[in-house]
Amino acid sequence: MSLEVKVATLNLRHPVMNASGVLGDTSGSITRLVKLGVSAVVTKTITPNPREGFNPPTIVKLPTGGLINAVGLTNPGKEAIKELTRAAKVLGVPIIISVAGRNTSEFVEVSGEAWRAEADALELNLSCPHAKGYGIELGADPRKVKEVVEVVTSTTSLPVLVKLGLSDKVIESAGKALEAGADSIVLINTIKAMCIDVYTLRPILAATYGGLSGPPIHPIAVRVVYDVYREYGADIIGVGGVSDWVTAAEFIVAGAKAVQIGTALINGDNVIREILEGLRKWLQYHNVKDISELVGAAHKR
Amino acid sequence: MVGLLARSLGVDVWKDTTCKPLALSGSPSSRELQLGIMRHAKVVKVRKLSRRYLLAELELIEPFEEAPGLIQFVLIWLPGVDYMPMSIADYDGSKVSVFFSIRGEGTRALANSAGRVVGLVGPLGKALTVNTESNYVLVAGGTGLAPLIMLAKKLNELGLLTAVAWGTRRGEDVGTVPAYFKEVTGAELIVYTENCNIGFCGKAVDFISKALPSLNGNEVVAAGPNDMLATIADLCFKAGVDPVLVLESTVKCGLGICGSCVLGETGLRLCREGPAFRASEVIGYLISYHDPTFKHR
Repeated sequence: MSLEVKVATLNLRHPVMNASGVLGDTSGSITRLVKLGVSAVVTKTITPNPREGFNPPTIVKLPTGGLINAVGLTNPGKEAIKELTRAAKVLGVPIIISVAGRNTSEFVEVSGEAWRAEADALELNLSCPHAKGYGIELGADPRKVKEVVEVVTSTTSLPVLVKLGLSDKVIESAGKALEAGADSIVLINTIKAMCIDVYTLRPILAATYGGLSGPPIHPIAVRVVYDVYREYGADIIGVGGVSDWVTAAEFIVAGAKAVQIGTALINGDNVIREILEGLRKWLQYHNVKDISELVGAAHKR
Repeated sequence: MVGLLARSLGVDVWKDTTCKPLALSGSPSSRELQLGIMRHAKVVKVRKLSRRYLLAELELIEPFEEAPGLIQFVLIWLPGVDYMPMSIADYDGSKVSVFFSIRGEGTRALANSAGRVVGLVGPLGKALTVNTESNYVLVAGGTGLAPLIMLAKKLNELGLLTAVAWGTRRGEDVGTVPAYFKEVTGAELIVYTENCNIGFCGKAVDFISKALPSLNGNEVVAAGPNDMLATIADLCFKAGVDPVLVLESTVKCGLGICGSCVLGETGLRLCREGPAFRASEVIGYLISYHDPTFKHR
Protein backbone atom coordinates (compact mmCIF):
# COMPACT_ATOMS: atom_id res chain seq x y z
CA MET A 1 0.00 0.00 0.00
CA SER A 2 1.53 3.25 -1.07
CA LEU A 3 0.94 6.89 -0.32
CA GLU A 4 3.76 7.87 -2.68
CA VAL A 5 2.78 10.39 -5.29
CA LYS A 6 4.36 11.99 -8.28
CA VAL A 7 3.32 15.57 -8.64
CA ALA A 8 4.84 18.28 -10.81
CA THR A 9 7.49 15.69 -11.73
CA LEU A 10 8.54 15.37 -8.06
CA ASN A 11 8.43 11.99 -6.37
CA LEU A 12 7.01 12.48 -2.90
CA ARG A 13 6.86 10.08 0.01
CA HIS A 14 3.23 11.00 0.63
CA PRO A 15 0.76 13.63 -0.56
CA VAL A 16 0.89 16.11 2.35
CA MET A 17 3.10 19.18 2.17
CA ASN A 18 2.74 22.50 3.94
CA ALA A 19 1.03 25.48 2.37
CA SER A 20 3.22 28.46 1.64
CA GLY A 21 3.18 31.12 4.35
CA VAL A 22 3.38 28.70 7.23
CA LEU A 23 6.86 28.79 8.78
CA GLY A 24 9.41 28.18 5.98
CA ASP A 25 11.37 31.43 5.84
CA THR A 26 14.44 30.48 7.89
CA SER A 27 16.47 27.30 8.12
CA GLY A 28 15.16 26.82 11.68
CA SER A 29 11.53 27.01 10.60
CA ILE A 30 12.20 24.57 7.77
CA THR A 31 13.56 22.16 10.36
CA ARG A 32 10.30 22.59 12.25
CA LEU A 33 8.20 21.86 9.13
CA VAL A 34 10.16 18.68 8.47
CA LYS A 35 9.60 17.61 12.08
CA LEU A 36 5.86 18.10 11.51
CA GLY A 37 6.13 15.46 8.77
CA VAL A 38 5.70 17.26 5.42
CA SER A 39 6.72 15.35 2.27
CA ALA A 40 7.98 18.57 0.67
CA VAL A 41 8.69 21.97 2.14
CA VAL A 42 7.06 24.98 0.51
CA THR A 43 8.81 28.18 1.53
CA LYS A 44 7.19 31.41 2.51
CA THR A 45 6.70 33.46 -0.63
CA ILE A 46 10.02 35.03 -1.62
CA THR A 47 10.24 38.40 -3.38
CA PRO A 48 13.46 39.84 -4.85
CA ASN A 49 14.09 42.06 -1.83
CA PRO A 50 13.31 41.43 1.86
CA ARG A 51 9.89 42.58 3.03
CA GLU A 52 8.95 43.51 6.59
CA GLY A 53 5.26 42.85 6.05
CA PHE A 54 2.47 44.29 8.15
CA ASN A 55 2.46 45.05 11.84
CA PRO A 56 0.68 42.61 14.14
CA PRO A 57 -2.05 41.51 14.53
CA THR A 58 -1.22 39.69 11.30
CA ILE A 59 -3.08 36.45 12.04
CA VAL A 60 -6.42 36.18 13.82
CA LYS A 61 -8.14 32.97 14.86
CA LEU A 62 -11.87 33.10 14.25
CA PRO A 63 -14.54 31.80 16.61
CA THR A 64 -16.35 30.52 13.50
CA GLY A 65 -13.33 28.39 12.53
CA GLY A 66 -10.32 29.19 10.41
CA LEU A 67 -7.95 32.12 10.37
CA ILE A 68 -7.72 35.49 8.71
CA ASN A 69 -4.20 36.65 7.98
CA ALA A 70 -2.51 39.67 6.50
CA VAL A 71 1.15 38.96 7.02
CA GLY A 72 2.09 41.04 3.99
CA LEU A 73 4.51 38.66 2.29
CA THR A 74 7.09 39.03 5.04
CA ASN A 75 10.22 37.33 3.69
CA PRO A 76 14.00 37.50 3.75
CA GLY A 77 14.37 38.20 0.00
CA LYS A 78 15.97 36.08 -2.70
CA GLU A 79 19.40 36.05 -1.04
CA ALA A 80 18.00 33.63 1.57
CA ILE A 81 17.00 30.96 -0.98
CA LYS A 82 20.43 29.33 -0.85
CA GLU A 83 20.24 28.88 2.92
CA LEU A 84 16.65 27.59 2.82
CA THR A 85 17.50 25.09 0.10
CA ARG A 86 20.56 23.91 1.97
CA ALA A 87 18.50 23.36 5.14
CA ALA A 88 15.94 21.23 3.28
CA LYS A 89 18.65 19.21 1.47
CA VAL A 90 20.38 18.42 4.76
CA LEU A 91 17.07 17.03 6.02
CA GLY A 92 16.51 15.12 2.77
CA VAL A 93 13.19 16.74 1.88
CA PRO A 94 12.39 18.37 -1.48
CA ILE A 95 11.97 22.14 -1.34
CA ILE A 96 9.56 24.19 -3.41
CA ILE A 97 10.32 27.90 -3.51
CA SER A 98 7.21 30.07 -3.49
CA VAL A 99 7.85 33.10 -5.67
CA ALA A 100 6.13 36.45 -6.07
CA GLY A 101 6.91 39.63 -7.87
CA ARG A 102 5.24 42.79 -9.06
CA ASN A 103 6.07 42.05 -12.69
CA THR A 104 7.49 39.30 -14.87
CA SER A 105 11.10 40.37 -14.41
CA GLU A 106 10.80 40.05 -10.61
CA PHE A 107 9.37 36.53 -11.04
CA VAL A 108 12.29 35.67 -13.29
CA GLU A 109 14.78 37.20 -10.84
CA VAL A 110 13.62 35.05 -7.90
CA SER A 111 13.07 31.93 -10.02
CA GLY A 112 16.61 32.21 -11.39
CA GLU A 113 17.99 32.38 -7.88
CA ALA A 114 16.01 29.26 -6.92
CA TRP A 115 17.32 27.46 -9.97
CA ARG A 116 20.92 28.40 -9.16
CA ALA A 117 20.40 27.24 -5.57
CA GLU A 118 19.19 23.88 -6.95
CA ALA A 119 15.76 24.04 -5.37
CA ASP A 120 13.42 21.25 -6.44
CA ALA A 121 10.55 23.31 -7.84
CA LEU A 122 8.92 26.72 -8.01
CA GLU A 123 5.46 27.70 -6.88
CA LEU A 124 4.37 30.96 -8.48
CA ASN A 125 2.15 32.85 -6.08
CA LEU A 126 -0.38 34.51 -8.36
CA SER A 127 -2.99 34.83 -5.68
CA CYS A 128 -2.02 36.63 -2.47
CA PRO A 129 -5.23 38.48 -1.54
CA HIS A 130 -3.73 41.19 0.67
CA ALA A 131 -0.35 42.42 -0.58
CA LYS A 132 -1.16 45.08 -3.13
CA GLY A 133 0.22 44.49 -6.61
CA TYR A 134 1.56 41.03 -5.77
CA GLY A 135 -1.12 38.45 -6.18
CA ILE A 136 -4.75 38.03 -6.97
CA GLU A 137 -4.72 40.90 -9.48
CA LEU A 138 -2.38 38.73 -11.55
CA GLY A 139 -4.11 35.41 -11.00
CA ALA A 140 -7.55 36.75 -11.86
CA ASP A 141 -6.32 37.90 -15.27
CA PRO A 142 -5.74 34.84 -17.51
CA ARG A 143 -3.58 36.84 -19.96
CA LYS A 144 -1.22 37.94 -17.20
CA VAL A 145 -1.09 34.40 -15.82
CA LYS A 146 0.00 33.16 -19.23
CA GLU A 147 2.60 35.91 -19.53
CA VAL A 148 4.21 35.23 -16.14
CA VAL A 149 4.16 31.44 -16.45
CA GLU A 150 5.54 31.53 -19.99
CA VAL A 151 8.45 33.72 -19.01
CA VAL A 152 9.31 31.57 -16.00
CA THR A 153 8.98 28.21 -17.77
CA SER A 154 11.14 29.47 -20.63
CA THR A 155 13.92 30.76 -18.39
CA THR A 156 14.24 27.91 -15.88
CA SER A 157 14.22 24.15 -16.11
CA LEU A 158 12.69 23.68 -12.66
CA PRO A 159 9.19 22.22 -12.39
CA VAL A 160 6.67 25.07 -12.11
CA LEU A 161 3.61 25.00 -9.88
CA VAL A 162 1.14 27.85 -10.28
CA LYS A 163 -0.91 28.86 -7.26
CA LEU A 164 -4.24 30.45 -8.11
CA GLY A 165 -6.88 31.97 -5.89
CA LEU A 166 -10.63 32.13 -6.07
CA SER A 167 -11.89 34.37 -8.86
CA ASP A 168 -14.46 34.19 -11.62
CA LYS A 169 -11.59 33.47 -13.97
CA VAL A 170 -9.88 30.71 -12.00
CA ILE A 171 -10.73 27.91 -14.46
CA GLU A 172 -9.60 29.99 -17.41
CA SER A 173 -6.44 31.11 -15.57
CA ALA A 174 -5.60 27.48 -14.78
CA GLY A 175 -5.98 26.64 -18.48
CA LYS A 176 -3.65 29.47 -19.49
CA ALA A 177 -1.08 28.41 -16.90
CA LEU A 178 -1.11 24.86 -18.29
CA GLU A 179 -0.84 26.14 -21.85
CA ALA A 180 2.16 28.18 -20.78
CA GLY A 181 3.91 25.09 -19.46
CA ALA A 182 2.92 24.84 -15.79
CA ASP A 183 3.54 21.37 -14.39
CA SER A 184 0.93 21.63 -11.69
CA ILE A 185 -1.83 23.96 -10.49
CA VAL A 186 -2.12 24.70 -6.77
CA LEU A 187 -5.71 25.52 -5.78
CA ILE A 188 -6.60 27.71 -3.88
CA ASN A 189 -5.09 30.57 -1.91
CA THR A 190 -6.84 32.32 0.98
CA ILE A 191 -9.94 34.36 0.18
CA LYS A 192 -10.08 38.09 0.85
CA ALA A 193 -11.96 38.72 4.09
CA MET A 194 -12.00 40.81 7.23
CA CYS A 195 -12.94 40.62 10.88
CA ILE A 196 -14.09 43.49 13.08
CA ASP A 197 -13.97 43.61 16.86
CA VAL A 198 -17.40 44.52 18.22
CA TYR A 199 -16.09 45.75 21.59
CA THR A 200 -13.50 48.20 20.33
CA LEU A 201 -15.28 48.73 16.99
CA ARG A 202 -12.07 48.29 15.00
CA PRO A 203 -10.95 45.88 12.27
CA ILE A 204 -8.61 43.48 14.08
CA LEU A 205 -5.89 43.08 11.44
CA ALA A 206 -3.47 45.98 11.27
CA ALA A 207 -3.87 45.76 7.48
CA THR A 208 -7.71 45.80 7.79
CA TYR A 209 -8.21 43.12 5.10
CA GLY A 210 -6.71 39.68 5.04
CA GLY A 211 -7.11 36.22 3.60
CA LEU A 212 -9.50 33.66 5.06
CA SER A 213 -8.12 30.13 5.43
CA GLY A 214 -9.03 26.88 7.14
CA PRO A 215 -12.23 24.81 7.30
CA PRO A 216 -14.54 27.64 6.11
CA ILE A 217 -12.93 27.67 2.64
CA HIS A 218 -12.59 23.92 2.16
CA PRO A 219 -15.84 23.33 0.21
CA ILE A 220 -14.99 26.28 -2.03
CA ALA A 221 -11.53 24.87 -2.72
CA VAL A 222 -12.96 21.39 -3.40
CA ARG A 223 -15.29 22.91 -6.02
CA VAL A 224 -12.40 24.68 -7.76
CA VAL A 225 -10.23 21.55 -7.76
CA TYR A 226 -13.14 19.49 -9.09
CA ASP A 227 -13.83 21.97 -11.91
CA VAL A 228 -10.19 22.39 -12.97
CA TYR A 229 -9.68 18.62 -12.96
CA ARG A 230 -12.85 18.07 -14.98
CA GLU A 231 -11.81 20.70 -17.50
CA TYR A 232 -8.16 19.76 -17.99
CA GLY A 233 -7.43 16.52 -16.08
CA ALA A 234 -4.42 18.45 -14.83
CA ASP A 235 -1.87 17.82 -12.12
CA ILE A 236 -3.43 19.57 -9.12
CA ILE A 237 -2.47 20.24 -5.51
CA GLY A 238 -5.46 21.00 -3.28
CA VAL A 239 -5.17 23.62 -0.57
CA GLY A 240 -7.75 25.10 1.76
CA GLY A 241 -9.08 23.72 5.00
CA VAL A 242 -7.35 20.34 5.10
CA SER A 243 -7.55 19.48 8.77
CA ASP A 244 -7.93 15.69 8.84
CA TRP A 245 -7.75 12.72 6.46
CA VAL A 246 -11.34 13.23 5.27
CA THR A 247 -10.75 16.78 4.06
CA ALA A 248 -7.51 15.60 2.42
CA ALA A 249 -9.22 12.61 0.79
CA GLU A 250 -11.97 14.87 -0.53
CA PHE A 251 -9.40 16.91 -2.46
CA ILE A 252 -7.91 13.70 -3.86
CA VAL A 253 -11.20 12.34 -5.15
CA ALA A 254 -11.97 15.79 -6.59
CA GLY A 255 -8.78 15.48 -8.65
CA ALA A 256 -5.80 16.57 -6.54
CA LYS A 257 -2.66 14.43 -6.48
CA ALA A 258 -1.41 16.08 -3.32
CA VAL A 259 -2.60 18.52 -0.68
CA GLN A 260 -1.09 21.36 1.28
CA ILE A 261 -1.87 22.14 4.89
CA GLY A 262 -1.54 25.47 6.68
CA THR A 263 -4.16 26.55 9.18
CA ALA A 264 -4.60 23.09 10.73
CA LEU A 265 -0.98 23.15 11.91
CA ILE A 266 -2.18 25.36 14.78
CA ASN A 267 -4.01 22.31 16.15
CA GLY A 268 -0.85 20.54 17.23
CA ASP A 269 2.17 18.69 15.99
CA ASN A 270 0.51 15.39 15.02
CA VAL A 271 -1.91 16.68 12.39
CA ILE A 272 0.07 15.40 9.39
CA ARG A 273 0.87 12.02 10.93
CA GLU A 274 -2.81 11.55 11.76
CA ILE A 275 -3.85 12.47 8.22
CA LEU A 276 -1.44 9.90 6.79
CA GLU A 277 -2.67 7.20 9.14
CA GLY A 278 -6.24 7.99 8.11
CA LEU A 279 -5.38 7.96 4.42
CA ARG A 280 -3.75 4.53 4.74
CA LYS A 281 -6.90 3.15 6.29
CA TRP A 282 -8.89 4.86 3.58
CA LEU A 283 -6.88 3.01 0.91
CA GLN A 284 -7.58 -0.26 2.72
CA TYR A 285 -11.25 0.62 2.88
CA HIS A 286 -11.36 1.11 -0.87
CA ASN A 287 -9.15 -1.89 -1.38
CA VAL A 288 -6.62 -0.03 -3.51
CA LYS A 289 -2.85 -0.36 -3.32
CA ASP A 290 -1.90 3.04 -4.53
CA ILE A 291 -3.40 6.40 -3.67
CA SER A 292 -3.11 7.50 -7.30
CA GLU A 293 -5.99 5.12 -8.06
CA LEU A 294 -8.29 7.42 -6.12
CA VAL A 295 -7.20 10.69 -7.71
CA GLY A 296 -10.25 12.18 -9.41
CA ALA A 297 -12.37 9.18 -8.38
CA ALA A 298 -15.41 11.42 -7.90
CA HIS A 299 -15.46 12.07 -11.65
CA LYS A 300 -15.86 8.41 -12.58
CA ARG A 301 -19.34 7.12 -13.18
CA MET B 1 -18.59 3.98 -5.36
CA VAL B 2 -18.62 2.70 -1.82
CA GLY B 3 -21.82 0.79 -2.47
CA LEU B 4 -20.43 -0.82 -5.62
CA LEU B 5 -17.23 -1.70 -3.87
CA ALA B 6 -19.14 -3.30 -1.00
CA ARG B 7 -21.23 -5.36 -3.34
CA SER B 8 -18.25 -6.51 -5.36
CA LEU B 9 -16.47 -7.57 -2.18
CA GLY B 10 -19.61 -9.24 -0.94
CA VAL B 11 -19.37 -7.60 2.47
CA ASP B 12 -21.26 -4.93 4.26
CA VAL B 13 -18.53 -2.32 4.60
CA TRP B 14 -20.53 -0.37 7.12
CA LYS B 15 -20.38 -3.29 9.52
CA ASP B 16 -16.88 -4.40 8.64
CA THR B 17 -14.76 -3.87 11.73
CA THR B 18 -11.67 -3.08 9.66
CA CYS B 19 -13.48 0.08 8.60
CA LYS B 20 -13.96 1.36 12.10
CA PRO B 21 -10.72 3.32 12.17
CA LEU B 22 -12.31 5.54 9.53
CA ALA B 23 -13.55 7.68 12.39
CA LEU B 24 -12.31 11.27 12.34
CA SER B 25 -9.07 10.53 14.14
CA GLY B 26 -7.42 13.76 13.12
CA SER B 27 -10.20 16.19 13.95
CA PRO B 28 -9.24 18.95 16.35
CA SER B 29 -10.93 18.76 19.72
CA SER B 30 -13.29 21.52 20.77
CA ARG B 31 -10.59 22.63 23.19
CA GLU B 32 -8.14 23.16 20.33
CA LEU B 33 -10.80 25.04 18.41
CA GLN B 34 -11.34 27.45 21.28
CA LEU B 35 -7.71 28.11 22.21
CA GLY B 36 -6.20 31.20 20.68
CA ILE B 37 -9.45 33.04 20.03
CA MET B 38 -9.43 36.65 21.11
CA ARG B 39 -11.03 37.47 24.45
CA HIS B 40 -11.58 40.94 25.85
CA ALA B 41 -10.56 42.50 29.10
CA LYS B 42 -10.99 45.84 30.78
CA VAL B 43 -7.84 47.43 32.10
CA VAL B 44 -9.11 48.17 35.61
CA LYS B 45 -5.94 49.57 37.10
CA VAL B 46 -2.37 50.45 36.18
CA ARG B 47 -0.15 50.57 39.27
CA LYS B 48 3.16 52.33 39.16
CA LEU B 49 5.40 50.11 41.30
CA SER B 50 8.47 52.27 40.77
CA ARG B 51 9.90 54.81 38.39
CA ARG B 52 10.45 51.99 35.91
CA TYR B 53 8.05 49.12 36.58
CA LEU B 54 4.30 49.04 36.20
CA LEU B 55 1.56 46.54 36.85
CA ALA B 56 -1.61 46.46 34.76
CA GLU B 57 -4.64 44.59 36.04
CA LEU B 58 -6.98 43.32 33.36
CA GLU B 59 -10.47 42.11 34.24
CA LEU B 60 -11.62 39.46 31.76
CA ILE B 61 -14.94 40.14 30.04
CA GLU B 62 -15.03 36.61 28.61
CA PRO B 63 -13.36 33.84 30.62
CA PHE B 64 -10.30 31.95 29.40
CA GLU B 65 -10.95 28.51 27.93
CA GLU B 66 -8.60 27.16 30.58
CA ALA B 67 -6.78 28.71 33.54
CA PRO B 68 -3.25 29.88 32.68
CA GLY B 69 -0.46 27.53 33.64
CA LEU B 70 3.00 28.54 34.86
CA ILE B 71 5.15 30.75 32.59
CA GLN B 72 2.38 31.16 30.03
CA PHE B 73 1.68 34.45 28.29
CA VAL B 74 -1.00 36.44 26.53
CA LEU B 75 -1.00 38.62 23.45
CA ILE B 76 -2.55 41.98 24.27
CA TRP B 77 -4.22 43.85 21.43
CA LEU B 78 -4.34 47.62 21.73
CA PRO B 79 -6.38 48.58 18.65
CA GLY B 80 -4.41 50.66 16.20
CA VAL B 81 -1.27 50.55 18.37
CA ASP B 82 0.21 47.12 19.00
CA TYR B 83 -0.29 43.42 19.56
CA MET B 84 2.29 42.39 22.09
CA PRO B 85 3.22 39.33 24.12
CA MET B 86 3.11 39.75 27.91
CA SER B 87 3.83 37.17 30.60
CA ILE B 88 1.00 36.44 32.99
CA ALA B 89 2.38 37.68 36.30
CA ASP B 90 -0.72 36.72 38.25
CA TYR B 91 -4.20 35.32 37.67
CA ASP B 92 -7.05 35.07 40.12
CA GLY B 93 -9.84 33.46 38.10
CA SER B 94 -11.06 36.62 36.40
CA LYS B 95 -8.16 39.06 36.55
CA VAL B 96 -4.84 38.89 34.71
CA SER B 97 -1.91 40.99 35.93
CA VAL B 98 1.01 41.96 33.73
CA PHE B 99 4.29 43.38 35.00
CA PHE B 100 6.11 45.60 32.52
CA SER B 101 8.22 48.65 31.82
CA ILE B 102 7.73 51.21 29.08
CA ARG B 103 9.84 50.06 26.15
CA GLY B 104 7.92 51.37 23.15
CA GLU B 105 4.65 52.60 21.77
CA GLY B 106 2.68 49.55 22.85
CA THR B 107 3.81 49.47 26.46
CA ARG B 108 3.34 53.25 26.70
CA ALA B 109 -0.22 52.88 25.46
CA LEU B 110 -0.83 50.06 27.94
CA ALA B 111 0.43 52.27 30.77
CA ASN B 112 -2.21 54.84 29.77
CA SER B 113 -5.04 52.43 29.12
CA ALA B 114 -6.82 52.33 32.51
CA GLY B 115 -10.56 52.08 31.89
CA ARG B 116 -10.17 50.86 28.32
CA VAL B 117 -11.11 47.52 26.79
CA VAL B 118 -8.33 45.57 25.08
CA GLY B 119 -8.16 42.27 23.18
CA LEU B 120 -6.49 39.32 24.85
CA VAL B 121 -5.34 36.07 23.25
CA GLY B 122 -4.13 33.26 25.48
CA PRO B 123 -3.00 31.64 27.59
CA LEU B 124 -0.23 30.82 25.10
CA GLY B 125 2.96 28.82 25.35
CA LYS B 126 3.71 25.51 26.99
CA ALA B 127 3.02 25.56 30.71
CA LEU B 128 5.91 24.57 32.96
CA THR B 129 5.37 21.51 35.15
CA VAL B 130 6.83 21.68 38.61
CA ASN B 131 9.19 18.90 39.60
CA THR B 132 8.02 18.19 43.14
CA GLU B 133 11.17 16.17 43.86
CA SER B 134 13.23 19.32 43.71
CA ASN B 135 13.62 22.73 45.29
CA TYR B 136 13.81 25.83 43.15
CA VAL B 137 16.05 28.85 42.81
CA LEU B 138 14.59 31.61 40.62
CA VAL B 139 16.65 34.37 39.05
CA ALA B 140 15.27 37.35 37.12
CA GLY B 141 16.65 40.41 35.43
CA GLY B 142 14.41 43.45 34.92
CA THR B 143 10.98 42.58 33.51
CA GLY B 144 12.18 38.97 33.46
CA LEU B 145 10.56 38.89 36.88
CA ALA B 146 7.11 38.84 35.20
CA PRO B 147 6.89 35.13 34.28
CA LEU B 148 8.46 34.07 37.59
CA ILE B 149 5.86 35.70 39.85
CA MET B 150 3.13 33.08 39.40
CA LEU B 151 5.78 30.37 39.51
CA ALA B 152 7.15 31.69 42.82
CA LYS B 153 3.62 31.79 44.22
CA LYS B 154 3.03 28.15 43.27
CA LEU B 155 6.43 26.97 44.52
CA ASN B 156 5.98 28.80 47.80
CA GLU B 157 2.59 27.11 48.28
CA LEU B 158 4.26 23.75 47.65
CA GLY B 159 7.14 24.60 50.00
CA LEU B 160 9.66 24.14 47.19
CA LEU B 161 10.99 27.67 46.88
CA THR B 162 14.60 28.14 48.00
CA ALA B 163 15.19 31.73 46.87
CA VAL B 164 14.23 34.36 44.31
CA ALA B 165 16.86 36.87 43.20
CA TRP B 166 16.00 39.87 41.05
CA GLY B 167 18.33 42.40 39.56
CA THR B 168 17.63 45.83 38.13
CA ARG B 169 20.02 48.54 37.05
CA ARG B 170 19.24 51.35 39.48
CA GLY B 171 18.07 51.54 43.06
CA GLU B 172 15.43 54.07 42.04
CA ASP B 173 13.78 51.37 39.92
CA VAL B 174 13.09 49.09 42.87
CA GLY B 175 10.22 51.04 44.52
CA THR B 176 7.44 48.76 45.71
CA VAL B 177 8.37 45.83 43.46
CA PRO B 178 9.54 43.65 46.40
CA ALA B 179 6.40 44.56 48.37
CA TYR B 180 4.20 43.63 45.41
CA PHE B 181 6.14 40.40 44.95
CA LYS B 182 5.59 39.48 48.58
CA GLU B 183 1.90 40.43 48.39
CA VAL B 184 1.35 37.94 45.54
CA THR B 185 3.78 35.13 46.35
CA GLY B 186 4.29 35.38 50.08
CA ALA B 187 8.04 35.15 49.43
CA GLU B 188 10.92 37.57 49.86
CA LEU B 189 12.64 39.02 46.82
CA ILE B 190 16.43 39.25 47.05
CA VAL B 191 17.25 42.50 45.26
CA TYR B 192 20.44 43.32 43.34
CA THR B 193 21.13 46.78 41.88
CA GLU B 194 24.02 47.73 39.64
CA ASN B 195 24.38 51.20 41.15
CA CYS B 196 24.34 49.56 44.59
CA ASN B 197 21.68 51.92 46.01
CA ILE B 198 19.37 49.21 47.27
CA GLY B 199 19.89 45.56 48.20
CA PHE B 200 22.98 43.68 47.11
CA CYS B 201 25.52 45.31 44.85
CA GLY B 202 25.70 43.76 41.39
CA LYS B 203 23.57 41.68 39.06
CA ALA B 204 21.16 38.83 39.68
CA VAL B 205 23.74 36.53 38.06
CA ASP B 206 26.01 37.22 41.05
CA PHE B 207 23.49 35.43 43.21
CA ILE B 208 23.97 32.28 41.15
CA SER B 209 27.77 32.59 41.29
CA LYS B 210 27.55 32.77 45.07
CA ALA B 211 24.98 29.99 45.35
CA LEU B 212 26.87 27.72 42.94
CA PRO B 213 28.33 25.29 45.52
CA SER B 214 24.91 24.70 47.06
CA LEU B 215 22.87 24.54 43.84
CA ASN B 216 22.89 20.75 43.67
CA GLY B 217 19.40 19.34 44.14
CA ASN B 218 17.82 22.59 43.03
CA GLU B 219 16.14 23.43 39.78
CA VAL B 220 17.20 26.85 38.55
CA VAL B 221 14.71 28.92 36.55
CA ALA B 222 15.96 32.17 35.02
CA ALA B 223 14.33 34.91 32.99
CA GLY B 224 15.83 38.07 31.59
CA PRO B 225 18.00 39.35 28.76
CA ASN B 226 19.71 36.74 26.56
CA ASP B 227 23.26 37.59 27.68
CA MET B 228 22.22 37.11 31.31
CA LEU B 229 20.63 33.75 30.44
CA ALA B 230 23.74 32.61 28.59
CA THR B 231 25.90 33.48 31.63
CA ILE B 232 23.54 31.68 33.99
CA ALA B 233 23.52 28.59 31.76
CA ASP B 234 27.31 28.60 31.73
CA LEU B 235 27.54 28.87 35.53
CA CYS B 236 24.90 26.21 36.13
CA PHE B 237 26.45 23.74 33.68
CA LYS B 238 29.63 23.95 35.77
CA ALA B 239 27.59 22.92 38.81
CA GLY B 240 26.02 20.06 36.86
CA VAL B 241 22.64 21.81 36.66
CA ASP B 242 20.69 22.26 33.42
CA PRO B 243 18.63 25.36 34.22
CA VAL B 244 15.26 26.28 32.78
CA LEU B 245 15.51 29.52 30.81
CA VAL B 246 12.50 31.68 29.98
CA LEU B 247 13.29 33.32 26.65
CA GLU B 248 11.92 36.25 24.71
CA SER B 249 11.63 36.59 20.95
CA THR B 250 9.35 38.30 18.47
CA VAL B 251 5.95 36.69 18.87
CA LYS B 252 3.53 37.74 16.15
CA CYS B 253 0.80 35.12 15.79
CA GLY B 254 1.10 33.06 18.97
CA LEU B 255 -0.34 30.09 17.06
CA GLY B 256 2.89 28.44 15.94
CA ILE B 257 2.63 29.15 12.23
CA CYS B 258 4.09 32.56 11.35
CA GLY B 259 7.63 31.57 12.23
CA SER B 260 8.68 34.90 13.71
CA CYS B 261 9.45 33.47 17.16
CA VAL B 262 11.55 30.53 15.92
CA LEU B 263 14.84 30.44 17.84
CA GLY B 264 17.49 30.41 15.14
CA GLU B 265 18.68 27.05 13.88
CA THR B 266 17.00 25.12 16.70
CA GLY B 267 13.63 25.30 14.93
CA LEU B 268 12.00 25.73 18.34
CA ARG B 269 9.00 28.06 18.36
CA LEU B 270 8.94 30.22 21.46
CA CYS B 271 5.13 30.39 21.37
CA ARG B 272 4.63 26.60 21.16
CA GLU B 273 7.64 24.76 22.54
CA GLY B 274 8.47 27.64 24.93
CA PRO B 275 8.86 30.18 26.33
CA ALA B 276 10.60 28.01 28.97
CA PHE B 277 13.35 25.75 27.67
CA ARG B 278 16.12 23.65 29.18
CA ALA B 279 19.35 25.59 28.70
CA SER B 280 20.89 22.57 26.96
CA GLU B 281 18.26 22.90 24.17
CA VAL B 282 18.88 26.58 23.48
CA ILE B 283 22.46 27.32 24.48
CA GLY B 284 23.65 27.21 20.85
CA TYR B 285 21.03 29.77 19.94
CA LEU B 286 21.96 32.03 22.88
CA ILE B 287 25.63 31.93 21.94
CA SER B 288 24.98 32.58 18.24
CA TYR B 289 22.72 35.46 19.22
CA HIS B 290 25.73 37.30 20.56
CA ASP B 291 28.10 36.36 17.81
CA PRO B 292 28.27 39.39 15.50
CA THR B 293 29.37 37.18 12.60
CA PHE B 294 26.14 35.22 12.89
CA LYS B 295 23.31 36.62 10.81
CA HIS B 296 20.29 36.54 13.05
CA ARG B 297 16.83 37.52 11.94
